[in-house]
Amino acid sequence: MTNMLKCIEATMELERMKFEKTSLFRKMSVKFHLMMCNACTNYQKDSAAIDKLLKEKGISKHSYTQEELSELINELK
Amino acid sequence: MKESLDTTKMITGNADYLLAFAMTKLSDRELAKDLVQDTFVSAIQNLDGFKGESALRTWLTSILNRKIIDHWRKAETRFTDPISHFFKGESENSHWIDSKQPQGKIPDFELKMDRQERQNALQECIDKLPMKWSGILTSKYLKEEKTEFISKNFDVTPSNMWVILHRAKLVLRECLEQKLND
Repeated sequence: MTNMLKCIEATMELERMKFEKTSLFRKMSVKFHLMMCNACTNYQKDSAAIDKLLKEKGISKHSYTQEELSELINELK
Repeated sequence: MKESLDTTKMITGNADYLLAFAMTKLSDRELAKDLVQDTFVSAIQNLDGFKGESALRTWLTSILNRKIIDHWRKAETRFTDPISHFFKGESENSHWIDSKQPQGKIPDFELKMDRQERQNALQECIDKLPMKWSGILTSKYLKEEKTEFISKNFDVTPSNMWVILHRAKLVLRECLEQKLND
């Protein structure tokens, strides 16, 4: 029982697993934890929904519009 | 007369590059624009500090980088809850505090709000995070940048990066849930 994942570890592992490979043992530990823990299962759902919201937000354009650039130049005169 | 010409050239030739640089470290375009403007102001005031045409961009970038780091330092004092805000336990933080247990309601955002409404809610919650955290969050979840890149760019160790991402997610999740309940 002592090597059972705690909620704080399970939730962090859920984030890490989205991007990085983990050992089969680690994956199973998380899976097992989720079977037992309603709150972390809800966390997993919420976290996926947040990822979707972040993706929807998109990346704002990284260059100046002509208008912004003229503004900047005037501002600095 | 000659000086103002050079200034305009300096701005038009480097503004996009500097904005793109700032956006790799900040998630807020308006803030990035402000810091780029500050950079040009400093550069114009300290033109003597600059030596040689070829290093102009490098010089401007180093000024901008300093401004971003200063900004993070100031923004770092923004209040964030300690991890014990979410978890309790005997010796270590182990289980969710009862009132903090996730309800699994965040998927409702798609059903209950239109795109503009839910994006406004998201932005308000992101704004609660320290600037550095939201930068790391956007780098990972939006741009899906490599851990080594983020680690270098934001000056954090990889394990610290995961701690920050986890904390940022917890804060965001709670904030969004509150917005649904309001």
